[in-house]
Amino acid sequence: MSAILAVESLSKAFGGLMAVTDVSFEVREGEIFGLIGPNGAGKTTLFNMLTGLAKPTAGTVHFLGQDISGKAPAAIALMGLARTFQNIRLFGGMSVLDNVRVPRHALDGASLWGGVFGSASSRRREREALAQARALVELVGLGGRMDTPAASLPYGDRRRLEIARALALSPKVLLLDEPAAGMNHAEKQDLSRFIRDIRDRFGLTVLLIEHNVPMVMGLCRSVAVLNFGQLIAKGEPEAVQADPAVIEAYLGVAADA
Amino acid sequence: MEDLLARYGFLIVTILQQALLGLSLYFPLMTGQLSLASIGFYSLGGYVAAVMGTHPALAPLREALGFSMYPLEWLVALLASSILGVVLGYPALRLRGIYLALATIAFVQILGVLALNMPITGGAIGIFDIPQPFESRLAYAWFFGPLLALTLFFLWRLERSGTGRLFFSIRENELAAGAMGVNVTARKVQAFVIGCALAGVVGAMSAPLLNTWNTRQGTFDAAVACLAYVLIGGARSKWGALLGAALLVSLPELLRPLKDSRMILDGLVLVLVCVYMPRGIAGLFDRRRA
Amino acid sequence: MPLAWFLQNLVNGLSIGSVYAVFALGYTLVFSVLGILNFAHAAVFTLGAYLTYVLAVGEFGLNGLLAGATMPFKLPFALALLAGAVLSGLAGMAVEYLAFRPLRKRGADALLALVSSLGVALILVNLIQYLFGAEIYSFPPDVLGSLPPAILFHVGEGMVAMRTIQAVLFGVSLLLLIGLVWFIQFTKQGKALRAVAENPDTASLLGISVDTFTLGTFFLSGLLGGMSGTLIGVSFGLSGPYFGVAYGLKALAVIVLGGLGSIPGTVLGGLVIGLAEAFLPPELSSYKEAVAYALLFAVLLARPQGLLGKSAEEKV
Repeated sequence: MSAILAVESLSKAFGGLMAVTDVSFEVREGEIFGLIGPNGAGKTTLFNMLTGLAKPTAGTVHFLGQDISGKAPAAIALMGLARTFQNIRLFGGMSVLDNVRVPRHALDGASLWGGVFGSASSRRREREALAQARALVELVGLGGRMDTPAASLPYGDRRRLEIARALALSPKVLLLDEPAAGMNHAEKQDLSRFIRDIRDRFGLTVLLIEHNVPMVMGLCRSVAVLNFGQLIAKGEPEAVQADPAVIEAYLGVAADA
Repeated sequence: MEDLLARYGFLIVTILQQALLGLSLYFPLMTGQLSLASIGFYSLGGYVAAVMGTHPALAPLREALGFSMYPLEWLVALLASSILGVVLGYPALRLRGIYLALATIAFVQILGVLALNMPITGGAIGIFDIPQPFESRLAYAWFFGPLLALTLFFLWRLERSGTGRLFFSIRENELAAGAMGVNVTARKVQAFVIGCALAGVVGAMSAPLLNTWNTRQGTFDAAVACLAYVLIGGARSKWGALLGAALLVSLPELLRPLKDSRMILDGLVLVLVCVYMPRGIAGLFDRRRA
Repeated sequence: MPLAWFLQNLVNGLSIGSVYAVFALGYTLVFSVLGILNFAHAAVFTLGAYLTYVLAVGEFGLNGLLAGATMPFKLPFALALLAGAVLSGLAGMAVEYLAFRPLRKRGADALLALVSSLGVALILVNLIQYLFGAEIYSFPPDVLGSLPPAILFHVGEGMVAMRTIQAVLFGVSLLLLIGLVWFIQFTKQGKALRAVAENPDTASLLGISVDTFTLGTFFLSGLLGGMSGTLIGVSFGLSGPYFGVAYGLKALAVIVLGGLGSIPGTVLGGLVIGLAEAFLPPELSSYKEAVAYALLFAVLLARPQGLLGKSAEEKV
């Protein structure tokens, strides 16, 4: 299996402060890759660099063999790298269905005149977008709330809607930023099953940030551990779990808790 | 009845015209962008129509076309406004919110200085004796009425199309829209240019109505008044501009003693709406969001 | 390039540019604390000029509601300038209290605050028109006392004229700038202002009441606005209640040019625009009013964060 996403010597400085220092790793096609580390370790900053929301100070990101560092977020998203946000960012005033339709329209390049005057090809694309969005909303279990404004959904449903919206980009790689935040044990198990399920169904590669160590260990074939912006370990979960640096930086704390 | 129409004819036409200007600001607002440029494009469109209607070199064309000269003026105004809209929109819309408002203000000012200095726009005096197609002012409703209906139809279709949803996604969360593949700048420019084109056509239709055209048609006050229509009516609904224009144009007419202080009233209403009714009048009827 | 010509333009540019800077600092102070543009600032500028006129000259013109009225006293110009500025500062506080505070309490969008301040500007300007009329007011030539109208310097072959009012403009602006810098660098309130401008959350940590603090900022901003309004009014006359709008828009170009929220940037921006206008070739002089806006566009294209601004990356 080849690397679908390759991060090379990636660094990000805010002012004089290094948020991410010289991080390199590869994600292979089809795997579920876990990115763990304590709060403030630079995980979200790393995600932002992968998706074009933050410009790397140094280093490169290759996606599907192309250098995407410095590209605009929209271009990266359309190439098939989709994400969710840690602090959920839905289109609050729009309905559940419309939230999921937006990426479809972005993909099919929604034509202004075709849409207003109802050209045949525009109508066909509208129908397709609607059908695909409906199916994705059903898939995440929000089928009964298609017309509810996203902002008035309960917290857990909003997280699910974000996943559906990201899937609407027909991504090759899906980045999930703390998808299990605020979930109880049973819900986390459901989510793990769901992530495996969509990986198989859509042929995805998944990269996820997670705090919950048991969940990551159960779900991921490879993990990378960040601490103070530096990569301190990477590899198979069992090996990483045994790494003294990791135990000290992160797992040790978790084991005490 | 005839009497009433004669008296209120100008009022009705003014409401239609001002509502259209308000709507021209609604388009960029669909993408969450506050622009004050409409009055500049209105002024530009008016100059296009005034020049085409009075310039001696175009006399043969006017004679050949007759009434069709007016639609031609609208078309030229529409094209000129769209091109200028793209030129202005691209640099300003790459940046966040406040810069567009500032760039559009600067644009209106520059246009005013140019109009004062160019021979073709008649300098400070402006252009007068612009040919008028109708005797009564009310008859201009034949210009503005269909345009308003067309604009509302356009909006009704747009809001239900993919492009409309992309516009709204930017308004709701610009950052997420970009991360979901929406080409944010291009879509903002698209919405902005539609507004510019509309304002240009409204200007071209207004030049015959007012008979003269000069730099006083494009003041900062007038720009703020257009904004007031949309916001008072409700910035999230296409009906807002119509409601706002109807209210603000007719209020001083209905309350005669207030006529001298019309702009004070406009300002007061603007502040009160921002503070107490941020969704505007249309927001009161919008039960879904309540 | 003849030296005298160069020096003459330098004098003209620096004197008007320094007033642009002082006026624009009023926008910058509010922007750096609240992150919003206060469009009513231009109206406060106009108000300051009219108030000083009434206090120094004692008359109200012929067309407004107050036509023909006279004041029971006249103040010497320096005192009237100061009193007009203080009253403008109070007007600034009223703007904050009526148009901004209620929106801030609700956590409303910054663009809504901008619109609300546009509303206040509309009210103030038209109120002035209602009370004072739309006519031109000019300060009498003897308003500065018995000073000569201009001083002439011989430079080589040529001559450089410094009008007394230009010296006053530059001198007062310089004093205000020095005062402001001293205030920000060396007083407790000034340091707090810098801290809050850096990070609004620090206000509560420092034990500052944000409301009082914001009121103070608006007072300072109004003071600068009223003072610069008077200076411009004395120099060029008050061409009507709308005379502040054009200067207000120009000051917006100043702050974008310098970098939104940057105090040194604002000063630099004011001087750059003043000098650019002064050095404009005479055959283009009718385009003088467009210089500031053309510079604004150039900056938007080339360096949107302004000459001295920092480019900010949004937190995700």
